[in-house]
Amino acid sequence: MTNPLLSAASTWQTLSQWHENQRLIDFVASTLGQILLWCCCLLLLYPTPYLPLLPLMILASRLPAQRIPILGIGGAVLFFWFRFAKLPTIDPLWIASDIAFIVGILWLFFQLARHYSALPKWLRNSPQIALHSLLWLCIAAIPFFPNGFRNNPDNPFFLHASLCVLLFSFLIWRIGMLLYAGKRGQLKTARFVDHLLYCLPYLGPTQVPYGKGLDYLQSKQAKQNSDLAKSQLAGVKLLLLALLWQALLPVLNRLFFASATHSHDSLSTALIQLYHVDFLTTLPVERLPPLATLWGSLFIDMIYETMQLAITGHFIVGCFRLFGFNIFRNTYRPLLTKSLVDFWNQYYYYFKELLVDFFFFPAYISLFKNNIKLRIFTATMASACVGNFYYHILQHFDVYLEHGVTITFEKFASYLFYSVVLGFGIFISMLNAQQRRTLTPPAYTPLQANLVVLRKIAGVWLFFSLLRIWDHPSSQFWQDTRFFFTLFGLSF
Amino acid sequence: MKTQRDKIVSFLQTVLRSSASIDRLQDHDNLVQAGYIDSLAMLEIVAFLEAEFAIDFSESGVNPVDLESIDAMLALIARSHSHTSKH
Repeated sequence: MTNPLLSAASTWQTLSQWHENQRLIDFVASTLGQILLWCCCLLLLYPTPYLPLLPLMILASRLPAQRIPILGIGGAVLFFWFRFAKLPTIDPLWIASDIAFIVGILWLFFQLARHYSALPKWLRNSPQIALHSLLWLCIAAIPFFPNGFRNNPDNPFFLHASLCVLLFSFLIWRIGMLLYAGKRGQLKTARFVDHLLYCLPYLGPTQVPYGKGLDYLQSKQAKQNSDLAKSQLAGVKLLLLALLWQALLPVLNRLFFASATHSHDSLSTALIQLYHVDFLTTLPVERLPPLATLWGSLFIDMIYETMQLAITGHFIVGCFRLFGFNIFRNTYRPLLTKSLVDFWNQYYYYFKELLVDFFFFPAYISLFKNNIKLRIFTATMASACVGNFYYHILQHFDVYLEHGVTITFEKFASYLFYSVVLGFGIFISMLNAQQRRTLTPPAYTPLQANLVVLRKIAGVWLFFSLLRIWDHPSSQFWQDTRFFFTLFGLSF
Repeated sequence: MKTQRDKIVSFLQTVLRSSASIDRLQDHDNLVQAGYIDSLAMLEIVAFLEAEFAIDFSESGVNPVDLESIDAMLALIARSHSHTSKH
């Protein structure tokens, strides 16, 4: 008997993989195909901040040998666009000095990484710890600057010095990757210009290095014209998806969140009035809407946030693919995953990879080699819990500067709880996945199989939608926890 | 006698996704991208390479690119052994 869900999934799979159609790939590889492709990209990128990259993408397609430096230039263009186009009051001279600062610091670390074997042993043993210690020394020095982060027209130097620390923190994970490359001996004959791409905060206004490091990008780089066409089509598909989700967000807003910033008793214009979770957690218990609205809000808000993340990731990864680097998607159907570990892997891929590279594997290869469960547990907690929490503390180091250590931890208590539960959840999910692989799959009827899949998906939704209650670095732990209990009819 | 490649393929059979078949696997195929293994299996690959080929990842760290295909793993083993024999 045919499983209708499986056959529908198979048809959808065929339709959704249009970008892998060989005839289409061959056409796009031709001159006419390329012209049409770039016209299509112009239309797709026109309403986005990524439009300045289009000429560089075309150039990269004509000069494949120079693709990496061109992508580096593209990253620099976008970085300064994101950072400075919105701050037009900054003196152009300061912008020039920022460029000099970034290139200078990268050159310095490039040289250190290139001569890695000549570094002192303590530095070779713990390069990442040394790098982060240096950053925290710089951060700790900021309060001693007159005015700290505040602008002072009489003395902008210190504001600028603070900005340089901010830029350093922005580059920290990319510099970490550079040091890894040095440790692996990959830089002995390297050109600095190639590693500008590796380090410049290209494509993406966050600290997460989309596209990872140079060796990863090189392994995904198109080798032939047909590979390039395939990568470009995959990029177009992602841009289309990003624009589709972007168009759907206002619909979701109109349907569910029309007056989401107001309390539930205000005049609602939504079809079904729901609320964003971070708003609900701030309401006193007596003003919370009914339970059904709370649960609805929990799930729909998770879909909303996933779509927002997917839009950003699709634009960034889409651009990489148009440059000729057919890298993994950042967000790939996380709401259809059947286990916590798969959700974690497919929700925010490049953030997960950052945690894996800098926390998981270093712990995995150093600790408890003789006890596989303890080894996986330690490595999982090092990444999903410690690394995750540390990343967010570092991202918001201004909170530390403004309030000191105690209040910073108080403000991040919710996120600490989030990280600990996430770590445990992923560890248990990993053990389950390992165990499942050794067992023979049960013989289900198609209906049973569908129900099992739905149950698993629902379990993942439930776990992550509940955990998201604490996924707010600025909120208060007790407020969030109280809201959690309210969902089960318990109020205090 | 089993070659290094045979040992890797035998091991991969134990960590393959249930829907994947080893018969179609090419040496240059990206194991995760092509859906042969999940990311969890990468951990088991690390443990396998440590135990079977005495690769010490604490020296150079784990580079996931080195684990993404059979070819990449064979190159890693060759590099690691040539590095060991020099010392």
